[in-house]
Amino acid sequence: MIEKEVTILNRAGLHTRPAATLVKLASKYKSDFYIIQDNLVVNGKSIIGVMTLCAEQGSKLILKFEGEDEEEAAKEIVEYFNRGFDEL
Amino acid sequence: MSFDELTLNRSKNRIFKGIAAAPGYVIGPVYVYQKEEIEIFPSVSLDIDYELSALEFAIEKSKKELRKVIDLSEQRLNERITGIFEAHLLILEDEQLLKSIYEKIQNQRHSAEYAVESEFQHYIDLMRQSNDPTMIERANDIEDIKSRIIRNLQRKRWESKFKKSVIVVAKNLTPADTILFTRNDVLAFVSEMGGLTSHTAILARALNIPAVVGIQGISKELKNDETIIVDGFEGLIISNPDEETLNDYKIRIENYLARKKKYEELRNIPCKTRDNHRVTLLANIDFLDEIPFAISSGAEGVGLYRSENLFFQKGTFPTEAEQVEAYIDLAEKFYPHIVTIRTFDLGGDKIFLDEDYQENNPFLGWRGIRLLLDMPQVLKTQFRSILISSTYKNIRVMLPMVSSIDEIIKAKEIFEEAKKELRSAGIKFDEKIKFGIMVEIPSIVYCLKEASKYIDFISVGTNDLTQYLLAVDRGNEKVFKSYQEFHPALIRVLRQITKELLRTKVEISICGEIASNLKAVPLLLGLGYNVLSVSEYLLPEIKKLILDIKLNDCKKLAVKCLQATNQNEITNFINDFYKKSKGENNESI
Repeated sequence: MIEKEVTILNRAGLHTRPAATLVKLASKYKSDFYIIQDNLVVNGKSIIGVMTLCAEQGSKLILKFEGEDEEEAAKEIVEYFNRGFDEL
Repeated sequence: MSFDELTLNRSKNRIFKGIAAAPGYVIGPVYVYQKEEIEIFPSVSLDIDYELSALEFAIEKSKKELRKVIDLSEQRLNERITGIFEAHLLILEDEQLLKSIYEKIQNQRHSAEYAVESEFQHYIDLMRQSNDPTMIERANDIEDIKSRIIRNLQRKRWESKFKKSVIVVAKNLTPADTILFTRNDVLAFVSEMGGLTSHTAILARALNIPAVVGIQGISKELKNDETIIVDGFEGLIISNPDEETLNDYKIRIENYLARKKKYEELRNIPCKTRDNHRVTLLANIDFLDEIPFAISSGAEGVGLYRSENLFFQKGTFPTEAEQVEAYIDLAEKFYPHIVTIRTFDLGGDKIFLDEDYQENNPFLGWRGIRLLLDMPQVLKTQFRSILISSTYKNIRVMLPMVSSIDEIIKAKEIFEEAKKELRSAGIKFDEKIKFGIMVEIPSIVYCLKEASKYIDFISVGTNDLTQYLLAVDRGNEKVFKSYQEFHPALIRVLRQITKELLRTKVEISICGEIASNLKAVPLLLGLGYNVLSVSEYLLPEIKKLILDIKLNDCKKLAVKCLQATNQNEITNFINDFYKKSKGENNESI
């Protein structure tokens, strides 16, 4: 299992469009992917779940990956966060 | 013709006043779009296989519908809006969500309808619990998806196709509805819900379809196929129009269309009077989606961006990040032209934080810069946001409702603090950013010479200036007649302003309604105003007028008006001038 902390970098935060991209990225991998914000855990492959997160610029989230391709999944998804969802 | 005249003279017309959400005039037949309200009760199904296959069918059908919306959105709108619909499609493919719905049917023998309703509602409730208005907006989107699936489970259709050209009248239009309707020839949108920032309004403006929103009960008042007039400039719906009104509007439409075409050619011609005096026309902007219209109208910048709309859209003060996003959008799109950001002008007639908060005299109360100075953190955040957005060096900042020099000094102190913070954080901004004020309270007019030390520019707001000068509440029907926009005192004060600033470097512009009044434009030029900030849709017509007149004649007109003793004289002078300049019968649109 891999656990990574990420920060929301873009101005608009984790809004509808990045949420959609995130779910699409995660769905490419077999590994489970969870996003944890405070006490809330959502399935990162579920768009409706990700949409209930209220992650503004500066918020910190914990990402959890577990499965055979967890390293590849973690790499690509953490990068997407670090690029500020390509909105920087 | 004003709204009042219409109601008085023609009792046959039924006039409804709403919010002008997207400009344009239309005469056409009504199509009342009614959606059934869906009510789902807990129910147990005896035929699980049937429920499962019905669900599968409904989901597939809903996906197909959403793909259509995405296609249309791609064709007619931008990527930004399309992305939202794409996310909605993903919800229909959300395995976790679907799994829990299927489980409800299989394990608990729920009907498909009830399983969908309860699973979706769980997420909708979660989102509605949030204080963040964008989350609540998202919840409405999810609600729309839920209704779509349930409707397909009930094998019902929302009729959104029709053969003839119609005016769509509805209680509420979702973004998906609005886009789907564009497959037909939609002449206009009319809805009960929504304000200027609602999805319907934003989409209608982006689609260039006239819209009037916020008329309670209109979908019950109008009948299918009846002919109505939609006035998207004034926010009026006229049902059962008599012949005279119809003809009036037919002429307006004809003129409007003919001119609209002409303006395309006007756009790149420099705005000069016949005697070669340069006039700068800027646009007043309320919402960011007006930017393309303002640019295509030929505006040479933004003379007034009403930043408080960010507050109204969100329901609370926008964060620094949200503000920066909006301001940079403006700065980039208008670059290299100037963008004037007015700090939040709240209070007065503009609803504030707490609906229960009431003042006896809101117009003389806690509003504009007074309110901001009492909330220095809010003001500083806004200043920081404006500064951060100023790297293109085309942004300037303006304070609303200034009544004394002290207020300017206090606000400037906060402005300097904001600059200092950014400098020490290593954040770059325009060190020469211009700082100005609105002149809309009479007291500041007589302090302008001294104020000029602290400011780089002013913008005259004639609406409030008139109201404070004449002690007339322009929203009060009983005294509305006393609100004279051409009261001799106003004309003299406008002159006084230019006089006070005569030998200073302070730039002068004017952004009140008077600047968007075609007939008043020559007078304003004559009084020495050569930067006018106007409504974007009137800008080309104002430019056309300016190209036709001479500054010298305008100056003579101003001298006559300054000597007048009542409003009638002044309106006669300016009407005569206007008629002469236009030659024949060219009524204003």
